[in-house]
Amino acid sequence: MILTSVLEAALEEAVSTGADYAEIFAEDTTSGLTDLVDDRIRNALNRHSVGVGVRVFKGLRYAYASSSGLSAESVLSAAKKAAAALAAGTAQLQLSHLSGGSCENHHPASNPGSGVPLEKKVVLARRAYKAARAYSSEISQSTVSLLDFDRNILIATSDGLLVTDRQVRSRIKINAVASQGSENQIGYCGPGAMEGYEFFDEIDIEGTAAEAARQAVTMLHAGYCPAGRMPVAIDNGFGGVIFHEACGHSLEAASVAKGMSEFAGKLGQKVASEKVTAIDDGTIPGAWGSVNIDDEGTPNRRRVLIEKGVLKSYLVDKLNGRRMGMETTASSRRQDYTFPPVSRMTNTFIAPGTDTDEQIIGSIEYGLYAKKLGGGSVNPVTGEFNFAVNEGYIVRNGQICEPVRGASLIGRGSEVIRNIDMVGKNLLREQGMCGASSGSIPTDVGQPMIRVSEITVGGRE
Amino acid sequence: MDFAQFSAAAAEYARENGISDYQLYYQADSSDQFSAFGEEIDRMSSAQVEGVSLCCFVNGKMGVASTEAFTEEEIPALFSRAIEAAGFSGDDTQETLYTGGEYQPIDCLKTEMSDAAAVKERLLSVEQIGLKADSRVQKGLMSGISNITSRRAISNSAGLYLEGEGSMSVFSVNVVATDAEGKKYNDHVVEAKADSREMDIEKLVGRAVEKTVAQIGAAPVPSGHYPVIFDCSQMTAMLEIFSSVFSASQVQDGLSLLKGKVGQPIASEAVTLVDDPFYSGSFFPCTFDAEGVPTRTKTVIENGVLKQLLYDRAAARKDGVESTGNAYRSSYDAPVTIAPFTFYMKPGEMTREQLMQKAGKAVMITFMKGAHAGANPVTGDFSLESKGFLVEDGKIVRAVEEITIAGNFYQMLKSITAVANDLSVNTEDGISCCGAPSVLVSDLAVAGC
Repeated sequence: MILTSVLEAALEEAVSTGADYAEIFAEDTTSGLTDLVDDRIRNALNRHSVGVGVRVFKGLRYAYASSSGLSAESVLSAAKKAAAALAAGTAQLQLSHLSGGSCENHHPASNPGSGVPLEKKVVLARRAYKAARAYSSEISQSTVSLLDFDRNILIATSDGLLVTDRQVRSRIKINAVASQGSENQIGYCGPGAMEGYEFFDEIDIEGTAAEAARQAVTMLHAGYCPAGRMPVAIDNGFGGVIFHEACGHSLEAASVAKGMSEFAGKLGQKVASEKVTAIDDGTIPGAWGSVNIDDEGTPNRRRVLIEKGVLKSYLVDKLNGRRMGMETTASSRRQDYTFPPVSRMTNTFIAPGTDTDEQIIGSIEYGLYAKKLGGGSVNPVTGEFNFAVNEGYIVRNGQICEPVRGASLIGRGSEVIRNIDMVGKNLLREQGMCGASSGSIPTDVGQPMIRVSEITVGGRE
Repeated sequence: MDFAQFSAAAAEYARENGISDYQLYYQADSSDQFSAFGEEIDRMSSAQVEGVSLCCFVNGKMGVASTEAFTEEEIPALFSRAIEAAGFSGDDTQETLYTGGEYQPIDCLKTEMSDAAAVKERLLSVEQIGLKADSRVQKGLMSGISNITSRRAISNSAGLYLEGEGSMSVFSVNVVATDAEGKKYNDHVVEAKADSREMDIEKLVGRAVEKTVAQIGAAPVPSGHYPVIFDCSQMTAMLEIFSSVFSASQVQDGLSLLKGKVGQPIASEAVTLVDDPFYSGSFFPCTFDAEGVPTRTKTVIENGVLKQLLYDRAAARKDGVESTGNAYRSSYDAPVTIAPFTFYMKPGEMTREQLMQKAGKAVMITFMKGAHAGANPVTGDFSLESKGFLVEDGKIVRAVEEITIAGNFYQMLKSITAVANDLSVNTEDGISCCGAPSVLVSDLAVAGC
């Protein structure tokens, strides 16, 4: 991507004003977006993004400069800018010669989307569209997006590390709209993987589209969700967004290092119910949130965050690790070269427990069964979080009853993870995009079915 | 090579290869940011991104491809990717190259980039201002100043060439306060100005502290139905969340519920919504939209009646009307969508105090979160984590937290019973932004304790 001699010259430039660490991150990414609506292609975009970001540290301070383009001038100019912004004196670091190469690839892709003809993508999107429309005459519209990413990155540091990686991802997002008179309701499925287009041969496209349509039709005939505090059974899969928001973000070093997290200073303490073991695993082969190396070049790993309720680990990157006196946990990620990386999640999930789904539902006298969940957000300082239920059902006397429309669930993270008092056996992970200060990145959330003994349900009745 | 050289090389390539109709959309964004944590400047960053997106028109179909690599070698691949896309895109109507229109001249506010030392000094003053303002403020305030510049240009094979630019300086401060029991409260203030030196840092930090400590003692209200006052900032957020319902293409595809509603009342008579690309406080005034069409000011809702939808060229062709100049790209490589420029609700006569008097008992919303998941423009439904105040007898009695408000945007437009005179426009959102005064909505569901 860039000549080693250019990288070495740029690192030399980067440390010229007193930096104690310098890093070059270069990227050459091709991505495709094929959007189908009303059985016609609305967008067929093919993007080529290239650029470089140079980061320099001096103690706990850092400077970052990024620029599009991969010419020697862009790289050197970013290095100069970063050095000038840091302005920490004169050069003090002896650079080692760069050595290394491509990292070990645990997620081989046989058919990257970047090489798939558009014609094939259109056929695939159309299959999903037709299946969604065919589900019911009440399905009035469907939108399908096919996304593919072929991300080639290079990291070179003042420690002498030189490493490259190719990250290939594919995803389909299917929305189905059910309509009646002046009402629309929507259903959604969005499976994806750290794989090429072979992923679409492994999943049931028509079945996935029908599932989105089923949600929309069910919600069209559903009443409003109740409002107030009650027990909630949250189903597996995207239900794991509860841990992602209520706890995961608050374990990121960017918040913890500055005391801006309700979990700061709690390592080794009991922070959740004993039923909760939570893991962030960036090594799962082919998983949407996996990466061979993080965006600082560290090989990925499996991190046990909470074990039987006890806080075991934060998610740490190199810079915040300095403030915390901790080593990186290979958790540093960024959307692209325009963002300096920070600690983020990969594939995060609550591990299987010992309760059955029947026991969980059966234990609820009156409450909500949240079958399909949407995204959410959190303020790590206060722990206040929210996430959306897209498909819910009333539970009465231990039985799942009538469906109810979407509502947000809200609470404080440290309280809610103590209220997870039952954990099922069937772990499922699902795919999402997670937004934070280093941009939007692919992550998996997951869990078996769980019970939260009490949480605020933001319904309308 | 720069954009001018790239564009000349593209023209050369097109001529040699018999490609007659194409358009280039160029954007160059740059930003410089300084951040402080307590009494140290802990982060300095700068970013420069330029990219170009190519639209090729082949047999009445349009295809797009984009790149950040301004090199000679990139050009053939860019054309072939766009031409491949043209083979599959669009509907049955004929897409053609745009040849230009009448553009309104505008004055651009020019941001003066203040020097790094001055910016750092201002940020370093934040900690002491915050700590002095209230003893409950926690050490380690986080603040930042960013200078952002964006340039756009459109050039096409029919000889159209347009360019525009905008810039702003944004200050933000984040405050954490702790009450006697150790419970934490957090809020922030963001302000955009043409020149960072015009910012009254003391006042802005003061406001952030005030907003944060005002939450101390907050508790939920009992679940139920309440009249709700949306603070101007939160009514603005509602317009941002739901502005796509006014997009003609969303309406045509059944993804907005406004089909067949033009000319009909869709909101209470108190509601008038205007889209103004030349709004005086905007840092990115636009004489042309993302397709090169001249922009203009339009009334979308007048006294509750839907006057018109927003159009780009494709949606306009479908409905047999003219584009309203509302084609929008969030970045050079984003798909063209339809969006307003400065989209605001006209203020009413009442003061905010009179609005509270009229409400009597109500929940006032000053904060909402989670709209990307908890609100959906296709259905109009929303259920959002919120904070604010309980209003009784027209007065604020206490702070409220850990509640949600839930309803439907289309129904809510009809139940706005009063509009205050405190219009504020959220200019820091850039080219597409919204504004609103505080409003009173007669009834929404609140989930609390």
